[in-house]
Amino acid sequence: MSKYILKRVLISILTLSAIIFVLFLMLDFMPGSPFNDEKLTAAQKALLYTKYGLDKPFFVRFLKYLTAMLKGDLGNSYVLNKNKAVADMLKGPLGVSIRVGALGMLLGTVIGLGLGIAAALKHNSWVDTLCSVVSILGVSVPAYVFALLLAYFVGFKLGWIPILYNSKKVMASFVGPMIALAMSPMANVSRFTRAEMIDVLGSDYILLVQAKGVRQKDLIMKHALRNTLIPIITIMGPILVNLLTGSMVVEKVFGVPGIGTMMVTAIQSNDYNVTIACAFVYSAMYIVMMLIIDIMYGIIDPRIRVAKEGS
Amino acid sequence: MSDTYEKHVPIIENDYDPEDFVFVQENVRLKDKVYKQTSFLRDVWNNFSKNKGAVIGLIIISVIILMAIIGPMISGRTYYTQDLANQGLPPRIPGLEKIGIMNGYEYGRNIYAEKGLDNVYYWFGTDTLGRDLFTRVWEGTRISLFIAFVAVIIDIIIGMSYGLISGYFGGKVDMVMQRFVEILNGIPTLVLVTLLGLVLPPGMSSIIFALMITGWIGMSRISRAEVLKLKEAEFILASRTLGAKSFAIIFKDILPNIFGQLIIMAMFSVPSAIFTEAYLSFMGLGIPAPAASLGTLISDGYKSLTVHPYMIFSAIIVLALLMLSFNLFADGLRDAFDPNQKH
Amino acid sequence: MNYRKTLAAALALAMLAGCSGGTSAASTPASSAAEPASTVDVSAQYKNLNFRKALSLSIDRNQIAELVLKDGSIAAEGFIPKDFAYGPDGKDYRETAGNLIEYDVAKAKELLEEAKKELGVDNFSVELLYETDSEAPGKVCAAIQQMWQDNLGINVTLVSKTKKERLALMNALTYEIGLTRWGPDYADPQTYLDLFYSHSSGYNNYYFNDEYDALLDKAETGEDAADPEKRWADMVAAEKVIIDDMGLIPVFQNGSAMLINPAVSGIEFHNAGVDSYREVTVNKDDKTLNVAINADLNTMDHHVATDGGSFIMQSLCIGGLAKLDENAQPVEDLAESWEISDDGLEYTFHLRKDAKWSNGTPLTANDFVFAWRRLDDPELQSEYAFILDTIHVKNAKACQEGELPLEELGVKAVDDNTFVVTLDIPCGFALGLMAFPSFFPLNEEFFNAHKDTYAQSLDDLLYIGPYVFSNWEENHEYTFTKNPNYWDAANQAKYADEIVFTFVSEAQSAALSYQQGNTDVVTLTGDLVDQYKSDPGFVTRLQGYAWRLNLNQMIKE
Repeated sequence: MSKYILKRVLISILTLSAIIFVLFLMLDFMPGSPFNDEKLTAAQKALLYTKYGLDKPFFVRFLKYLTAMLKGDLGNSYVLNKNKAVADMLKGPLGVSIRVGALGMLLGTVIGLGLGIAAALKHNSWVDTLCSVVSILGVSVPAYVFALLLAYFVGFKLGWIPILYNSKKVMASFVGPMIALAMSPMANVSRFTRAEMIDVLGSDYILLVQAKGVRQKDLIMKHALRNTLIPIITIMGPILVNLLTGSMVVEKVFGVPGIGTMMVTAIQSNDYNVTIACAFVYSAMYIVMMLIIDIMYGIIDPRIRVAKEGS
Repeated sequence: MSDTYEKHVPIIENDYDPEDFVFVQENVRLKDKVYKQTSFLRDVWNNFSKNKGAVIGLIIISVIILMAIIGPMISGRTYYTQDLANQGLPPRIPGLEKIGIMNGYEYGRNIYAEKGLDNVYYWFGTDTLGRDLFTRVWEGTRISLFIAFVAVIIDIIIGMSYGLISGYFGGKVDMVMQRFVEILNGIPTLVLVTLLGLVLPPGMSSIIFALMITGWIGMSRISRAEVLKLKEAEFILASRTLGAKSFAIIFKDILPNIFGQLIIMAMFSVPSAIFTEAYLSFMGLGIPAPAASLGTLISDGYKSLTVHPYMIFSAIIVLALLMLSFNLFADGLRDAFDPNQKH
Repeated sequence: MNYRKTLAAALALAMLAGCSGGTSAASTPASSAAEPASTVDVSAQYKNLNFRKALSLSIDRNQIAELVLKDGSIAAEGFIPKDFAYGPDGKDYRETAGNLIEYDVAKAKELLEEAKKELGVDNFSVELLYETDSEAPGKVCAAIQQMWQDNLGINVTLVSKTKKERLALMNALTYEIGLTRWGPDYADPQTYLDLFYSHSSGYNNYYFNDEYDALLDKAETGEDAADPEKRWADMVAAEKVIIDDMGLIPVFQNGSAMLINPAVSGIEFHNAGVDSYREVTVNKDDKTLNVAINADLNTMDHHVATDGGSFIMQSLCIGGLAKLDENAQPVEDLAESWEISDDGLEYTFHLRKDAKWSNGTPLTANDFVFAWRRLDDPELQSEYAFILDTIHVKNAKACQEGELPLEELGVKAVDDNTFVVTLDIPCGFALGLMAFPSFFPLNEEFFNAHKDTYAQSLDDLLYIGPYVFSNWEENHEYTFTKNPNYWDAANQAKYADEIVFTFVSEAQSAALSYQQGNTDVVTLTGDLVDQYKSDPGFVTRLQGYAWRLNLNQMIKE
């Protein structure tokens, strides 16, 4: 097991360095400068490039960035928060984004599970239909449209949630973005749980348990649910990807000061260091979560572990 | 007590006759019944057509594809002509307007009457530049479908070859190829695609490229897994013994056996490609104006969602229908190809 | 082997389909139907005056302003926008220069036919470049595309890029026609005219017109420079020259549609310079002003800032020698009086004696000397350093380029309360610029104690303006409360107690928040105007930004 984890961690580190390289390369192709392209002359811009070390060859900059990064230095911002250390800039937004994202994921997963189980138990009833409708809506309405509808109906028409993020009422402010983000996990989890549960309920061992006269409640809670849950861990990865994608646009609608908003602004203004840092943080979160999911799966289902160690 | 005792003694009645134990078909000439031979595809179709949802999905897809082809022509308007005087008109459909929906009213006012357009009908309304949304939606559907199909076909070709080669050769080749996939897969698509959007020139080929850059990984996984399963099979061994070259084995013997799997995967990929395209448009990497895709229509409509909700709804509904029907269709297809698989 | 070939062919086909699909979708609908035009050197068509004129004459600018933009934007009447620069006679520049732009489709067609004959072609195709960072340019270009196609029958391909990319393409001359804008830094037509004046310092453009250059030579550095009336007349003449030559095609002057709570008054919008929230009255119980901003605060260091949002917040905290009144005229602020020498080359400012920094240090002339030198410091490389040279401060350019030590910059502190600026050439708009944050003072002692962290957190800021920065939530909210040590605190008492700027990039959310009463000031997008134009708080205002089309006469591949 530890050998497997070590191998995965090594690959993750390799992946992250590859990501930084790709990001660096792409930003190099990005036209325009981080500086005022409208009012500065080419000569003035050249001086600014020299000042910030942007005139150096690609590999020199890349290696310099990597070595600084190992010491926790992510460079300074060129535009967003001029000359401020990017590492300091990230702290606040990162916390907000992680909290909103985690809440959205939790809410979506819990409701999705409930809905999926209910739909499987009452196969072909109205609950089942509701489950299908929710899963279709969740995957076909873009998160930003859903977020704005939420802001309009629940925030404006009903006045139940704040339309704009308010740092004095953090929990209330999280409700809107959280629900908007929960839609996609909810859809995916409910759909998957339903299918899994129907499958499990039809299996021989459940028939056996039923034959033994176990009560319906115990049958579901103790036997069916546990076996349904294991495969659901496998779809957490893709769900996470959707969540990250969603956060970028949902934060914009509710004015949440998260890392998604920051990255969009940074990209638009060619703030290279902030863009790299944000993209890196996204990738790192993603990779770490995938790692955790894989390890968890290995622990829960011994077959995976054996198979992977064998290969 | 005696009553109870009596009940415990079952009275067995012998109701079998000796005739029950005689061979019944002794004098009948038995013959193997020959069922009509069905091809594999016939089987698939039989299984598929039993699945109600899948058939509905197929019908919806066909209708949408049909509309994507003829829709832009039947309204008599083009998708690019602006009529600034007719901007922001809500949907109005003859017939339907009599029953009170799509009657040209918005906020309780008949916008058409206010502008003096008595016999003018924009079925899905007009956008902020006065372009006909009906034509634009179908034009957009056509472009979105085209993008999705091309991206998915390229995904299949790249992913299939990669997976086949990686799985068949195994060993070091497989190791290197799989590490590459793992690294590429570690980059969140959203980050990659957003940045690509800035570097690439806007246009259809860029969008297809962005969609395909990570899209093929799923395909390669499936084909690799199948190859690993198949390459130990007897018929492959036979082929190898007869002197077939590796590439012939891969593409002639193995490929046809995994094609079904890939088609199913492709059908699941089409809706997600359409959806990703919508996200790309929102992030600014869209089809250049005046052309439109479902994604650009949604991101345009979004800008006035709280003011003129109808501008986004027609595109959202088509998108939702496409997502729904492709998923239903793919589900049905999967069951039909392999009835043993769980749903 | 067959399979491999088929596979390769299929792959190539798919790629081809992708690429060709891309190009055909990107080109205009008309291009597919149009007859194949005999090819010309693309630059040649833009060198043709009749062609350039035809393009301009066929744009219905009123329709663009009123039906496409709707945000209070107006049709351009010339290169220089309206309501931002006033002549020596006190009249608006545009009033003197008149309307130089016409919309005349018949004439446009005629000129286009002539252009076709001159160039020997049957049709034209053009590429129109615009930016996607905001919505307006895309909509305007879509409208222009339609007008050129309908009125002139030429094929227009739209090219959309991010603003950064658009500027890069235009600077590299790899574009055909580009929609671009200019925001004035100061209230004088020169800020616009310099864009095409090839003798201006750091000329960034590729348009060369001797007649135009000669007129501006006279106005800026030559014989008319010291004579405001003649200088004004030269500039009016220069504008006419460049419009007659169609060196650029003016399109519209930017407006801004806003929702401002009727209980709020006193926000001063300046078409050139920085909007002021210093004297805002709020008739609400809590006297708090909530402003939704659509661009984030970038820095509180006024020598580093380049964006309007940051400048607005800096103006609350610090202040200049002068400030602009509601008519955009400079009036006393940190200087209680000033004198200008007869030759217009020496400005003597007498600073207020009661002005103190928030740490108790009194304001001295050295705070200005130090600040201006820092602005010009080649070490700092401020992106606004050019503005010292714009008002012709002595040696500004040489010091900025490191050719002269900073001590040679034309500023000095005669005593604690007297600050003297020496110019090379007289400058009529220099006083107005004293309200611009780049010219604000900076306390040397405080700065040296903070150096690298200066202005990066609340602890690293010093105030001398009416407000202090009291809560800094990055990416989100910026709260300013009254400065108890403000020299004019008694007078300031009647204005807003607290000003809160909240960064919201989604205009629809901001507008909903306004309707709920949680936000007092919101900027609307054009799409939302119809919905809110009957709201009592709906206002439109003209901005100093002017949008134009640049035509590239020297296309590089």
